[in-house]
Amino acid sequence: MSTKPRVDSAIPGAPAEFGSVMMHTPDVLGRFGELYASFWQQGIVSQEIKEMTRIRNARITDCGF
Amino acid sequence: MRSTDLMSGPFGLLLAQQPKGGSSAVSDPNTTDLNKKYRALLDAILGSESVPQRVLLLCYQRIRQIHGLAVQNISVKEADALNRQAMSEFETGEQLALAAAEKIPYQHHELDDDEVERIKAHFGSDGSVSLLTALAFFDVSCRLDLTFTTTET
Repeated sequence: MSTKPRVDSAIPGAPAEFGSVMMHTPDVLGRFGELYASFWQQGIVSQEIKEMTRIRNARITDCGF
Repeated sequence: MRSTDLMSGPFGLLLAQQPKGGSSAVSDPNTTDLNKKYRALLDAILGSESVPQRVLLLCYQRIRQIHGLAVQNISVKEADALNRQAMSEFETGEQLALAAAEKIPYQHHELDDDEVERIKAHFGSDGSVSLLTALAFFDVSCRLDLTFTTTET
């Protein structure tokens, strides 16, 4: 369940992590953020259920995040 | 490629429905907002200037094959080569990308550091992030379409 980034940070001097690596594609990162915010903040399904399914998905896919 | 290429299946059609009152299966008033933002994300991913469109197209079609979905917008010869994993029929960059695409659906943890280094060497850091993000969302799109497809008995 490694969380070590394989791509360098796009921001000079900043450590490599999800955000700084995704800054290699800033347009994608920006639109992902907008979608992600809407997904979590809006809709009929509660945030509690979304969080439970997110955690379960992470276990199944062996995601370190 | 455009978001319409990934959103022409059952999930895309469902998400594009305008919210209706009453007994509609899609009554969430935020569906329109999600549709717009999801398509915008896909267009950003597919609009990468760091990865050739042909690479993205071939990878999407291979991932569709892995999920048992019909291929689109490629020749019968290309589809057959993808299905047989006849890598010699593709260019170097296509081969690197297709090797990663092969693993994303069910073997994502087997995509090793050396493979990613070769992708970075060929496509650059911007291109490797673009490509790997695209592969993930090709997989997402296939899974969403399969989720919203009824299984006829």
